[in-house]
Amino acid sequence: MMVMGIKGNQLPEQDREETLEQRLKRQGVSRRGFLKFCAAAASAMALPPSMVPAIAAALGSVTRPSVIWLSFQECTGCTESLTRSHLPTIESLIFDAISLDYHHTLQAAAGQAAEEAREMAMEKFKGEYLVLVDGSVPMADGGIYSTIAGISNIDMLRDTVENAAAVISVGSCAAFGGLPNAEPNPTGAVGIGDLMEMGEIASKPLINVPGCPPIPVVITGVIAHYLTFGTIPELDHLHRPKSFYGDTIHDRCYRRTFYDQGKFAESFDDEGARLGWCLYKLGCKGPTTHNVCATTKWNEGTSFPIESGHGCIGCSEPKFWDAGGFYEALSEPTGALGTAAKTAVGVGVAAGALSAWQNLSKRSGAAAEREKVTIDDLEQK
Amino acid sequence: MSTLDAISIETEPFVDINDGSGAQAILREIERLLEHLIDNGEEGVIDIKTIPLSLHEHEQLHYVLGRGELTATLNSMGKSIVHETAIAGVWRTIHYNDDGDVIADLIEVTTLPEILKSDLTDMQNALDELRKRIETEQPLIV
Ligand code: SF4
Repeated sequence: MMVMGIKGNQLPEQDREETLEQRLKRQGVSRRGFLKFCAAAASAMALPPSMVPAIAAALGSVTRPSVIWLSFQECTGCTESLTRSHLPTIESLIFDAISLDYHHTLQAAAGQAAEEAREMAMEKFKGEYLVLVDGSVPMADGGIYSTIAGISNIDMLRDTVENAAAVISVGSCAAFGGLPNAEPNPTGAVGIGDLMEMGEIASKPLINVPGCPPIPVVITGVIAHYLTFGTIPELDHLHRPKSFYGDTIHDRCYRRTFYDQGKFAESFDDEGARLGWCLYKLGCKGPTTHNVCATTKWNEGTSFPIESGHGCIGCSEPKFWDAGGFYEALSEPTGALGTAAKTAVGVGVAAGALSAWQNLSKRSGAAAEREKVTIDDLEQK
Repeated sequence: MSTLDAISIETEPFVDINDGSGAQAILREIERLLEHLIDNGEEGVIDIKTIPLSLHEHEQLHYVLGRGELTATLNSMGKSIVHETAIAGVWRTIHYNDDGDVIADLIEVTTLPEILKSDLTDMQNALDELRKRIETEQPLIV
């Protein structure tokens, strides 16, 4: 269904100049339907619903920007996630609100025709097009470990980013290097922000949308924000939109009541697990992970890992892949505190936080790149 | 057994652990918004979908607000249901997509939700349409 929208050709000029509202109207969508779309978009953008009139006004006037989506060292999970987005008109958002001029997985064109489509879009919309990237970029041995049409990923990225308006890194691989970057990182994989810092590619406004994969409506929400307002949303120090990554999973977790009471499941099949107690001691990385899984949830709002009885693995944080075992119990310190801390964990929050901090501190290399969490931080939350 | 529905599934009882304070907080916010609407005529809206509420809190919230006498259904890009709660000026709007998934769940504090009002451009187009229909005495201009 989605492939039909992408021909790998340039869109007719009149189509590009049509606003989203005009296009929806032409398709028989009423003004009320349009307002409904805006309400869903506000929700997806994590904007207050009072912004709906502003969104409606903006979408009634913006025309479709050209988007080039580059896929490098990745598993296509981010695209899979996006195509399962459940906005009412995701096809409208992707195919009507933007002109997706290049996307390996979704486009019908292949080979030379596909590369020509990318080059034409770059030429015609110089300085205006948006670049979306999923996957990390291998830098070892001249970047030979991943090529497309004989062009190394770094060369294609350098060329494409040069005249882009902004770059959105979709997924933890593009944002932070991801699994290809895991030690010993044989391909020298790095994220897009790293390449900008290294001076390997032009520095452009960058939005990171990490997650392995990111939540579909977070991807569409960020694209929708750019489309609607023509600006990038407010970002944190890791270039993540604060509206989606401002809180930790722990901040919004429905098991938080048990955390606060010091009630922790000790194994996946004990009484505590059955009663829905906190998964902290089973390795939950919720306290150090910024994302909206606990509210937006997955699979069309069905649930999220913690609701299914598994701790958060921290997939939207840098180096989550090298930050110790997913089941390494943050509340079971192996360092200096030993038994004293273990006993204390059983009696409450402060001790849990203390051992978490100790465990986090222990993981020096990988942990150095993650956000530091102190006892005070956790206690304040 | 030809469909998935034919396979019996046993579910464990859902343990709802929240203490319900989320519903109380939202109700207080609605109280503040309604005061504001009455005093200043300013409307307010809360997106329930983005707030982490337990099933119990959801039930508590909607139990307290109750159901009023007016319900409207919109069929555009999936169904939407708009109803006034038993508290005048407090409306609930639930938007569904074509698959029936909730895509927005709003509590609107207003005299009439925007989505129910007729749009000026639509009315202007409709006026032309009406004139044509009067002339042809036909319900539809093909
Ligand atoms: S530690 Fe994990 S399961 Fe426990 S409250 Fe925090 S996020 Fe939820």
